[in-house]
Amino acid sequence: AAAAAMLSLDFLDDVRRMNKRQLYYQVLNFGMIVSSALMIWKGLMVVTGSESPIVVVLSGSMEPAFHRGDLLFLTNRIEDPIRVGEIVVFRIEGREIPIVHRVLKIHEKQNGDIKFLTKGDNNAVDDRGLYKRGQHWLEKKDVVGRARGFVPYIGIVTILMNDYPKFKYAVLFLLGLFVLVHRE
Amino acid sequence: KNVEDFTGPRERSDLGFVTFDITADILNGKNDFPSIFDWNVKQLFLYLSAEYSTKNNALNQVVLWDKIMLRGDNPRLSLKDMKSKYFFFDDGNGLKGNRNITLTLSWNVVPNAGILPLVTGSGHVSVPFPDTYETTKSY
Repeated sequence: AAAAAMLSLDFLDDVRRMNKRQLYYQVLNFGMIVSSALMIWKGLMVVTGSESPIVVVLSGSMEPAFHRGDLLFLTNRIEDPIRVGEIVVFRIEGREIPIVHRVLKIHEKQNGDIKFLTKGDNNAVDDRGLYKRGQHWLEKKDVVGRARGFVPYIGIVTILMNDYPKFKYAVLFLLGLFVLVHRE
Repeated sequence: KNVEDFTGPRERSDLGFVTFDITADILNGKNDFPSIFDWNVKQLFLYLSAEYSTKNNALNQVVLWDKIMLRGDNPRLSLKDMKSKYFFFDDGNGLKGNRNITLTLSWNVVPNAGILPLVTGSGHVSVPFPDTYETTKSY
């Protein structure tokens, strides 16, 4: 208990030693880091054409290709036509969580209107049972993006933060602490 | 055949039946050809798709069969008299008398990490559907 008390006193001394100007400077620094991160994210959205250029795989329905926690990189360029075999990330109307599955069937009209059916590699049947009641096909508007590349495991952190909010707060708290107290 | 398919205002759509053989030698590192299964390839997702045009739709693509081939699996495919894994329903009645259904084998290379390319095989086969529906019950 004595060691812990000394540790917290040292830390408080550090903060007290910073005068108001230095504190504002650190806060501005922090703001800049957050803004830069947001700008990079928005830039990615523009370049890829997708509202969600990076997604985390949440289920095992595409195993053994993708597992829960894998990170997918998406593009959603209108010039890229939807074709069978492609891995699409789509949202079912009224549902928030996007699904990552493969295109099984497409019917495209002369004017470019397309309707398509999807299926998870690891599922026995196609996704019709998942679509909205009465909905038999997906359309371009349901697509968040096409998976172009992936990195395994990294997304586990996001899943952990979602499933264990205490973990998320701990991570944010430590990050904030680090940035505020760091001299440079 | 022309059967009920429950997916639209039209009650009936054409349902096609195709039987096929597949012989393929996935590049396996023998005979001086580099193996497609290099250090960064986890699996290949192979699929046989039928592509055709109808009055209703300028382009239709239907996956008839697929297979996951993991690194280490036997890279030689020698399948005979295969029936399609998925129902070959048309969006309408465009299979009867359709002279040009093109079957192609393609594959998605899934790496351990990195880009996910889709490759289409260079060989393809065109098959015609007959002008009349089959009346006998057989499949």
